[in-house]
Amino acid sequence: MKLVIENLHFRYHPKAEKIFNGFSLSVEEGEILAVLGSSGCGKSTLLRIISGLEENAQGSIRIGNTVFQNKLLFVPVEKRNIGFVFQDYALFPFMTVEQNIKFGMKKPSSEQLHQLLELTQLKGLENRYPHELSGGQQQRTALARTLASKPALLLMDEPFSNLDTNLVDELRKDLKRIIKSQKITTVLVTHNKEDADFLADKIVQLSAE
Amino acid sequence: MNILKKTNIKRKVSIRTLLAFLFIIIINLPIIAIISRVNFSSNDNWEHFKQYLLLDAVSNTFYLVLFTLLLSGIIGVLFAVIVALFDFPLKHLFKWVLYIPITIPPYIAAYVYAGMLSYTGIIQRLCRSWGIDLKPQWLDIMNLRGAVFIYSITLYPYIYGAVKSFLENHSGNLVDTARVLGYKPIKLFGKVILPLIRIPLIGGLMLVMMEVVSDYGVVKYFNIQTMSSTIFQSWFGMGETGVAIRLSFYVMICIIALQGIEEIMRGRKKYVIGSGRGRPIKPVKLKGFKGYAVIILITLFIGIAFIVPVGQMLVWAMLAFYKVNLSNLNQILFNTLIYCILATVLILALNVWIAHSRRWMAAKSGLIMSKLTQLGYSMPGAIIAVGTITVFVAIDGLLHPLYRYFDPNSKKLLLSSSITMLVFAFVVRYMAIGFNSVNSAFAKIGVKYNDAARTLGIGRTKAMMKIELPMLKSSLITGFILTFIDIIKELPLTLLLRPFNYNTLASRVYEYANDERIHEASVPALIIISLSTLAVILLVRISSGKGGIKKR
Repeated sequence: MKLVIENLHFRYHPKAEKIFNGFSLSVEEGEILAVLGSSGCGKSTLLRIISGLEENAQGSIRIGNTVFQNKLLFVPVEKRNIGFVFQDYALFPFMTVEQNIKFGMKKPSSEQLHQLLELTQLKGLENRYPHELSGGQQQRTALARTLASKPALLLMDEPFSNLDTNLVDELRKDLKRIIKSQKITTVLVTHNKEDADFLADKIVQLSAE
Repeated sequence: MNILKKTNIKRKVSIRTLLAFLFIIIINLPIIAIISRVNFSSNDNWEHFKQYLLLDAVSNTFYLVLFTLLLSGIIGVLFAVIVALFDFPLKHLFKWVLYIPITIPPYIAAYVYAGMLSYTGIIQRLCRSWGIDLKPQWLDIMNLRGAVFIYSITLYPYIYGAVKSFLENHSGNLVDTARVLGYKPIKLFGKVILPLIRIPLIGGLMLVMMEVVSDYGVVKYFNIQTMSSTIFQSWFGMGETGVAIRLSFYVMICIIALQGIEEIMRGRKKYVIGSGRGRPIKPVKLKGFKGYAVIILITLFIGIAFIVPVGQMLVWAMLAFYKVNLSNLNQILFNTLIYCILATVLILALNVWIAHSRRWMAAKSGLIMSKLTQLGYSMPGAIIAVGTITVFVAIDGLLHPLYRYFDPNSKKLLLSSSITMLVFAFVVRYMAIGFNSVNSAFAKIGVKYNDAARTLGIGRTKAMMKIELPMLKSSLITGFILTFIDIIKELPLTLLLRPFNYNTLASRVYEYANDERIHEASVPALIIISLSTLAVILLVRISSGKGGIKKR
């Protein structure tokens, strides 16, 4: 679904500097957008605002035909159906891979679980706990958990920052394959231009003023 | 476009935060009641107290606080430094054994030592049988100096624990740097360690001070006039509620002022190394004589603070066992566990809600919330008791028509004559203990798991229940145990706020001891100590990862 952000304004508290001042953006359905920028320019904040985790932003956010935020309205994060893969994945440490993925499903089904395990190449690892997985496997588990909720939009925060550089090439290919197979509109933020060039259909450069 | 839904309209404050503040207001009602009812006008009763009791009460309280802080501070810091900085045989056993004296409530230690040192006690009898002539006044413990001794040997673990864990976890680099620069142990202690441990030391000293100011059992038994005993005496002995409230208000102001002064004195100085930069300390091995000297020192101390009084109680308990009504004891144990568990569970539930809500609040509001949650702990038990009774009598007055609607013969003081009042007072008094465990655990895991769960379609509170609470299991158990130990040991609130004929272990110990039936008092006293010791052992096992809790 198409994502449209219009005239976004945001600051963390009334005395802080504005992070966004009239920012607008649109991402077409099925498109992968990479937001590129240095530390502190507001990349991750943008994802948090889109997802609804930051509640004090002003402006309008629309996904498809649904308005999630405007002057009068704020749809809470849990009602937005937006998938978010966090920088450190935030896998629930006391749950196995299978339990983590099932947590994302509205109606847990074995069939969907198997499809996701297949898609993310996690077969055979279902009973492992997050700390028993490699960085790449953890990332794929987080992605599978997010896809399990069948989100209208996928957000990814620095998807490769926690991984060894020698693994990144292969993981980029995996990630692109999975996202494209799901035809899901995606916004990812990164500070690495190579990641953005490889994965994205469109790149936006943010800079701290 | 989709139509606006009512539930999605922007809200400034969440129900979660409002509820948290409502809980905080409720738990501070006793303090609000005291502030609102204090009357500064001079009358005969006040003048009488001022003339005959106040000076003694103030000077005795000051003496007890000052000298207990000094002695318990020396004991606590000495053992903390020995355990943190040095390696010696059996250290892993001793570092936990040094916590054990905290399981003996000061009033029980007072009864035991007074009994042991009395004319008919074991010490004087032994001396007489060996022909040693001891003047009775040499062994008289029932005075200010004796109270300082009792408080110090039972309360020093507050200081020991705080200083030891700080030294073990934060001071490695600094102590090593000083050693490399050639600092000898005494200079190292004075120039580096003492300034470093200032914050945990003052934290521990504040806890000891609160316990001393709050205490009623020791001073009542030793017949020492203090602020706490004067408040009790004026309210419950003489019915002078105005005087009790006025005294409570003054004590409360002094404690808040002391805490304020400490914060101002701390100022901008930094005593804690930023997270991740403090390195655990590497202890120096004590060889030969020095190692054994440390073992003898700790063993002697634990002997005085725990083994001797508990051993004496065991002997007394065996002598008096047949005199104690055991079936009645079951009921007393049941009563005690009921209010301890009820209050502890309530404290943890409220703390989970408040600490959970706090995470999404602005820094200033969050800080105010923390301070208000912990206010009750800085108030002596006498003040909480006075405030709680005031609040419950007022609530009963308001609800009396409702009671009569359901039962025309209902008595007026329904809530204030039930266990509810006692449980509420414990919640007010001990919220801070649970809050520290729960709040720091929530702070440690942050909000990322909650955020992740919310992006998967579940609300904040449900996310907390399903994801964060299982992760906080060991912190919650720690909070439960710490709170439980404090509540089971507590005397003044139990004594004054329990329903009529509702006997508890603490109240039974107090009653036996006041009837000079020390032998009988040993049976319930030993049960309190056993339960607390079990709780401490469980705590130690959890801290060292042996509590059966899987750590993933």
